[in-house]
Amino acid sequence: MVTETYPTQAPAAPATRSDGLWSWISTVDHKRIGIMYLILTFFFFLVGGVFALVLRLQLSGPSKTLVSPEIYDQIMTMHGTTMIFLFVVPVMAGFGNYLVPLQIGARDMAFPRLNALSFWLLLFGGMVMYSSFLWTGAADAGWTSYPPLSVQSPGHGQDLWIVGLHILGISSFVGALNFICTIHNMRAPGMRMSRLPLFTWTIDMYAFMIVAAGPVLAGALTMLLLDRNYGTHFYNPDHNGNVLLYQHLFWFYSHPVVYVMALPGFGMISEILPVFSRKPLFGYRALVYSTVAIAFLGFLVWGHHMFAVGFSEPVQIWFMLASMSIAVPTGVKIFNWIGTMWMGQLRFEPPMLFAVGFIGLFLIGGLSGIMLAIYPIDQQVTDSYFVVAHFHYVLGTVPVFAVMAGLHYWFPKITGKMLDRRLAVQSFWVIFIGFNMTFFPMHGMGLSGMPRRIATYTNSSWTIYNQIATLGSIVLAVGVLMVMWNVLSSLRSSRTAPADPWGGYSLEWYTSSPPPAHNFDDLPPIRSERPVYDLRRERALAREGAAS
Amino acid sequence: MLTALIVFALFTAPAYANLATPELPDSTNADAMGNIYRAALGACIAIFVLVGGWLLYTSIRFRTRRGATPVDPPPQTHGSRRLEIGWTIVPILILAGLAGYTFDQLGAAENISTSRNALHIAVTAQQFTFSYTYPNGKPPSNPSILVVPVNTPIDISIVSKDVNHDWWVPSLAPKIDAIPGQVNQTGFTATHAGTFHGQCAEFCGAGHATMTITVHVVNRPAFQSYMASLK
Amino acid sequence: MIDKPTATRNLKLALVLSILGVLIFAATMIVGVIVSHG
Repeated sequence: MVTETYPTQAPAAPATRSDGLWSWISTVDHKRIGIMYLILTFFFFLVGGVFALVLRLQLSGPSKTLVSPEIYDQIMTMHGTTMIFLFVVPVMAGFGNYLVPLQIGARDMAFPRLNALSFWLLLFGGMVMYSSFLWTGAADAGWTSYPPLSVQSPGHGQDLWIVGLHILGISSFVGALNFICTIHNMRAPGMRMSRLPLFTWTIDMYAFMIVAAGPVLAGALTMLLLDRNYGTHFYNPDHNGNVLLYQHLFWFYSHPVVYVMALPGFGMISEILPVFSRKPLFGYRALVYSTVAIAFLGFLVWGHHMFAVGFSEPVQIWFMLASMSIAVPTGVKIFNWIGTMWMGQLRFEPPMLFAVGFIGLFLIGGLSGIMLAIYPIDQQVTDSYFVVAHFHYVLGTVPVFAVMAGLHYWFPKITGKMLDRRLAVQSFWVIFIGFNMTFFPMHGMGLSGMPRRIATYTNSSWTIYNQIATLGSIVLAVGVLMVMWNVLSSLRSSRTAPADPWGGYSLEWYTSSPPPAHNFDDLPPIRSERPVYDLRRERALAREGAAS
Repeated sequence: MLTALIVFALFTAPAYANLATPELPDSTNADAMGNIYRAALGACIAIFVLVGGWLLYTSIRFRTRRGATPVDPPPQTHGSRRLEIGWTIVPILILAGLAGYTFDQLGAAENISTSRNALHIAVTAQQFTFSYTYPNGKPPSNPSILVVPVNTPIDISIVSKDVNHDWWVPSLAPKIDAIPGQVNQTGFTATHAGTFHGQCAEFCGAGHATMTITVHVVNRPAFQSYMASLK
Repeated sequence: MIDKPTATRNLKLALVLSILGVLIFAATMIVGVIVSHG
């Protein structure tokens, strides 16, 4: 552990800084806003997780009646909706908010007040969506909400879902504007784009994708709201409307959104691996190019979610080839990550455990994705649990491993405390085992013919898979609770964190833990993508020079 | 790490049993489908073993003990152009190979027949049943059981009366969505007599889980007398 | 506070991106109208 401190170490927090509730509510400091994002999104993670446990308990055996199909459908819908829109997408904004200004050597985001607005809109949008539970019930047409089912769905749950999602969309769009302006206009001298930390690069792509794709979802949802309430017929085939119009527009947004969710996770891995391998990131340029390639290609493949709707063959073939091609830049990333570790001096501290676990498990999801891209295969297993397995291995691993890696890595910087190392290692193993127990059997379920989104089943040959998955989900939940406990108890511990507990490379490790309100008293020279590493090396060489 | 792998393998063993044979294929296009599936699965397993193995080997080979970090850092290699080119081109070749093989098999995997003696069935999906109509305009004697002859191309056209549904009998045919406002086509030729089950595979509301499908495949004489009895 | 030139660049970029967003939304709605009513 490197415990060197720098002469510019500012005190952890000036005594005059207010910590009352109002100071948090009225804050425009990107660090406080980032923390609020993290707390709110982790809260939604727990809610979405509880929903998942209910689903798993209901499906743990055939013909169970733990919940009625009507309730099951609401919980199934809100599980997906919450995890995607209220957890994974905004948690990246949370980490981005906290870290991007620090990583580029800026004092705050380009628009601090707009930043605060993004957060409060996230809270407001979530509240609007969840208020449906207290009224006529939540939306129940799946997180994808296809018409005609979502148009016909009675009650107001679907409308609150749509309005809530519009609010979340604005939160996200406005946040994206902020990130783009900050990254492109507010970098410290010497911080060229070619020296940007990978995490900040991925937040840049995250933001561009949201700007390009978000408004399309807004359009699709607006038309749904109009069809539901104002007598329009965008999606009504009885009056010249088109059911598939929604699916095209929805997936035009929702496929890029999976890369919106994944890329910042990749960025975290790209930061953590080099530090704990004691080497620079292998193939920095290739990693940047592959990030941009994935962001671009992600807009060309949406039809692979629609292989069963009756496309003509040329269309099927296009989407198949385009989807398979995304494996190339993704593979480049994985190879460069392993290349970073190769011939390094690996320290398996908790962030590194989660990061390496991520790579292995994401690989599984990427490979099942290649299988799904081949449309004759997809036409057998789409809308079955095989797909559920696939997307949890690519998308579930991002919060459960990549973000956990980031959490364990940046926790000292954000809070000024160290997490308990032993508990962190134990929670990693519990999570690793629980995750695989839950999701790997789902490949088998799908291949055996079990469709998704069913509230119950009678086919007893599916039971064993479901029992294992349910047990796994409980183990996974325990692991998540262990991390939570680690976070809460570490906040109260006396294990204070130095400015740079890990031997980090990027600028956030230059300042104190936590940073002062203005972030930096001064900055080191920025001459590569590893300014703090360069400074440490210079000083080490200077000391050796002085000693000899 | 090793313990974790063993635990992982044990828990996933049940999945392997079915990994090798996706939904027992009982129709002619299933052979080609099975070939495509096995090629893709084989490629993916090989890649997983190679890349996952490389990751595992690297993690073990280069790890350092806590508190025993060497004084000098390792060589600070920034990258290798040759490797970048190599590990871009090789995956492209593998994917091209898979895609090429898929195209090669695709003709045989086609399920919509152009055969003259195809039997045409009209399927109507609604919340929460599938109903069938034979060419003579009659439904099956038991409306929820579709009876078809073995070794005969069956052409299916499917519509929905309300929301999206999907007709999925894994042993016989790929799934096809039933979408209001359009007619979709699929088909199969069953190679064995028997009873095959499936269910709706596009979420359609509270009764989605109960929307089951049963297909009786019978020999041709039996089918002739069955059709006669429908008058 | 940010210096004036940077603040101006920020506002310009934010404006361009916002207009882009609105245009994409409008284009989506137009596509919807054409497909379903055209």
